[in-house]
Amino acid sequence: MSKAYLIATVAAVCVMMVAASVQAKPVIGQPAPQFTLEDHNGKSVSLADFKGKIVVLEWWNEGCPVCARHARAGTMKKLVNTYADKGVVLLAINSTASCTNESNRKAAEQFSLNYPILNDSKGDVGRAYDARTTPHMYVIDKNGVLVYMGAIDDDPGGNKKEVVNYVARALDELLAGKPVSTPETRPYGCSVKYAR
Amino acid sequence: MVCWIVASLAVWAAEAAPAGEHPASAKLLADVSTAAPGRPFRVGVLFTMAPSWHIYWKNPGDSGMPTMIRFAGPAGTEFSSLHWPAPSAFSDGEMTTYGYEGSVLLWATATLPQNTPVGGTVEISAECQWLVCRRECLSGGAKLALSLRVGDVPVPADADVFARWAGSLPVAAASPECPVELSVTRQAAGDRQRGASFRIAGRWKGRAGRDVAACPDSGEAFKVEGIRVERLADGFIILLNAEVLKGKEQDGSELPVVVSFTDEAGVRRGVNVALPMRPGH
Repeated sequence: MSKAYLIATVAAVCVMMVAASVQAKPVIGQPAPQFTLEDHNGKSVSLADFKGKIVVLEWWNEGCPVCARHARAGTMKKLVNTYADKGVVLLAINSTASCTNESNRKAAEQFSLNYPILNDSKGDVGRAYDARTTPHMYVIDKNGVLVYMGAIDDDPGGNKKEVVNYVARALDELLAGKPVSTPETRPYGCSVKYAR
Repeated sequence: MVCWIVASLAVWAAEAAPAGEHPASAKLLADVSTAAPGRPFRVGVLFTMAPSWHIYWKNPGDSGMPTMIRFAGPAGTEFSSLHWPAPSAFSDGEMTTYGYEGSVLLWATATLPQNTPVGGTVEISAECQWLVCRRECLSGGAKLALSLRVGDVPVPADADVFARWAGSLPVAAASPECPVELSVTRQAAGDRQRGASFRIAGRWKGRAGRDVAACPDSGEAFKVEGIRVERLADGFIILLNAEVLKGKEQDGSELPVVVSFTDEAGVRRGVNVALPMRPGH
């Protein structure tokens, strides 16, 4: 009887914890949620691996035409090329319910990506970050603090002549030791196709 | 897995495929066949979507992309900003977006320069871009053009289409044609410095509408969360939390919201409401 009660209590606490973790939303200026996921080669990647580096997260789905447009335009690849030697790491995270390491590997190959795609097909990491769109961008500073979340740029249609890349601007400010002037913008793109 | 393959193939096919296979089509219309110099007329793009697909309002919501139209005409032609009929809300339980199913006309008012030669023709063009989604999404685009005669007296055309969609344009809450009485209450902001909670109570003046939605025109300045709509016997109550994004305080004094609903004739309609973001505003 007491054992059954204990199990019920533990179960209830677990349910509460899960509920709390689902509801928690990322906050600018607070530590970014930790995660460990497999990349498209099956290698385990943790946010904690990049202590002392600036980490950029891109929510990704190769089936989303907005991601595909940026991948063809090389938007993220240019970020990697510009900032990699300044201590910046870019990770794509795929929270699409149907994604696999294999499908991510094919996408990384198809678009010649120079950064890994992490498999979050369960959606736990996406939900912890409240990722809504593909792409949805996050910047985490050297101390693991979330300093930017939102759109990649101010050009949802991909047709502006003068484009403000919010992530590049945040990185420039961080690297200059300044606070990020626009820490939050409205992301655009396809909805994240979470597992239901 | 099978679904994923089908969906992604559809994406790649649609990017190169002729417009007929894409779930949204676009047609450029004007409410005149002959336009008069200096006399405003309406020019719009009628989007038609395949069943279960939708395109997006100016604020797409939690995801999506605003439908974009760039009108152009002879040098000196003026175009107003786009008119957006009342949108519908689409929710999958987790995320809510705003847009249009079935069909929608997005239009602007155009005015040819006074010195446009009478007796000739002018070309009006519209460059359109959209994202069309059901569970998966496809990008769409079209470059459309229309030739109009220029005369001293305008000759109307497609009046029924423009009249039908003008009836879906949100109206001011204070206007006599507003079908609902609205009252807005701003509630204590609590610990959120740049935020506030709002309660919008609505009472139908005549027949009750259905599928009531609160569609915030958040722009780049606001974050709106926790929208809840409760139906009452003679109206509804909408609750929402709004916050002005950091650095956007200058643009964030009032949050425009369209309260939209479907009337007894099945027409989507809306009311414009401005929520005061500053205490005592």
